[in-house]
Amino acid sequence: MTTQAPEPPAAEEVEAKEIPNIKLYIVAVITGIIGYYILLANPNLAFISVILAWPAIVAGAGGVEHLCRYGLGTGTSSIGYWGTAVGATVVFATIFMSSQIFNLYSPFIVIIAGTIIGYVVGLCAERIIKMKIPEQAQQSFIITGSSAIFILIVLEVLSSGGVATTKLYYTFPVIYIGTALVILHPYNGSLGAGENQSRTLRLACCEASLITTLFGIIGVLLPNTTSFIPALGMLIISLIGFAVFVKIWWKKVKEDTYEIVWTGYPAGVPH
Amino acid sequence: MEPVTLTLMIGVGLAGAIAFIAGIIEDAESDAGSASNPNSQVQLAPQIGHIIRYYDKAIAGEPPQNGLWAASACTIALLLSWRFADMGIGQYYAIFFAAVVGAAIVCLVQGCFGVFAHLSRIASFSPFKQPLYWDALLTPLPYSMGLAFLTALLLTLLAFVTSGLLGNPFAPPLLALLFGISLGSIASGTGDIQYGAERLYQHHIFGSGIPISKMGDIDLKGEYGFRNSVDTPYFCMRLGGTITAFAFGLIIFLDGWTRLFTFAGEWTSVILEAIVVAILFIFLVWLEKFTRDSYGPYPGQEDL
Repeated sequence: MTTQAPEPPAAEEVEAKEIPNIKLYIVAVITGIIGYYILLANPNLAFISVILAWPAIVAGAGGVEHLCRYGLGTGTSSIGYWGTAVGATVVFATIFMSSQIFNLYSPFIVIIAGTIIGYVVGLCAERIIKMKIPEQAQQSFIITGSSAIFILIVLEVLSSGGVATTKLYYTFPVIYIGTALVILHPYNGSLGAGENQSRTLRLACCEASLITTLFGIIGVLLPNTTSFIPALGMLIISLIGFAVFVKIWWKKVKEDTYEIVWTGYPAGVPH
Repeated sequence: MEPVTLTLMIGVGLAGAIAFIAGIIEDAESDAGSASNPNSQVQLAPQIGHIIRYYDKAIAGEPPQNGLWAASACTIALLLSWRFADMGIGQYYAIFFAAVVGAAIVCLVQGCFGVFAHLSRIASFSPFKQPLYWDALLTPLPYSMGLAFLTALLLTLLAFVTSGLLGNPFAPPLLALLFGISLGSIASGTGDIQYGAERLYQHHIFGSGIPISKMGDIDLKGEYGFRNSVDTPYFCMRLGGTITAFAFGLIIFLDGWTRLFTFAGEWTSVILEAIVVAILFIFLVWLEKFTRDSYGPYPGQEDL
């Protein structure tokens, strides 16, 4: 009598261990709103708000991961571009809409507008174009909403709690493209058969802190003196966060990599 | 000659020259990291059993990453040049030194993204028994970072020349973002053919394209030993780099050149550029027909 080998865990079991993106998004919305009000109360506490803005990038990267696992190869960049464009446009538009740059209602307006636009576009892709991706509308609004939260907080730090100057407008291109890249890259960089949510989201943390470091440098250089201390706080906390997250991510990479060697030749190929 | 026309002519020449050099460097930078289109081939190689020693710098496709390098370098440069100007340094010196600082910061960011992408991709290749070779990452990494520094520096200077000497109404960071995205797209569309379809497939018949059956069957051997990503850019600079440079430089040059005329007021550039596009279109259609009539389909693929 032959004994059967133990079956490998089914795909559903592995999937079940993953955190649903909607939970990540809810966490990002809550931390984002708290971060916004901390900043509105005292701009010099920006270093706390920046920590509270990172979950938004994690949620957005989770959304990109979910959508692109269904075979959107080169579409990874496009979906990141699109999602961040919606988020960035919503935030930039709210600046021009009211005379007071950021007010008590800003985060709600931004989150609701970003979420609705993302949901409608996702629904169009689901119903009209008939893309066969489960939960497409939900994941689409996760990307747009998260990028809106992140850009709102970054812009508030750079404007030191809402004191906008025309010089701030020069930073819009880099804020848009930087956020787009860190939302789409964690999945794009980890693409492959051995990709898993845990490692992708750790990479998202690393990249979120990397890009806030860059925004911190830009904020320190802004000629507007009131934004110096918030931006310096953002820069320092981002560097610390970057070191911590890279350590956590590298631990996971070491676990997942087949073999780590200094040098060597591929086996089986004559040389 | 009027001083305004002279300034414009200097601006057009300078912008064209910077764009040409930026095109060559940018294509080399993408080849040093197997970025953009060839990346899919490098990505597929371990799946068909080819253990690779390429630097797998998958940073979100070429246009967005170049947009980020150019936009952030230019934003830092612009803000820093104001600080330098406050300290009493002359405007042109301030811009040049600030551009160097901006590009240096960007090259560190590029290095971080490259390391993240390579290590994550290799970890994701684990089902195919692909080991992580540190030397395969650390040899091309500084090279790629250096080329990213030059690309960011040149695109920043191009943005300043366009907004200053040529009088473009947009702010330099926005121009840099647009230049970065267009240069990335051009390098991805024209330059990468030389790398992805030729260099990676040197052991197949020249010019035979990449049918599905060959996907991922990339060349693993270099001129000596196993091929590493530093072996690629010098090969691709001969054709891929120059074609990218030609395409991007010509766009910038022809766009600037139309500003020298004023016969129809504000519509002059629109009319002239429409004529240039029409001439190019007619020439390219003729060239395509001439090539197909002269050489026909590839041998063995007549029925396709």
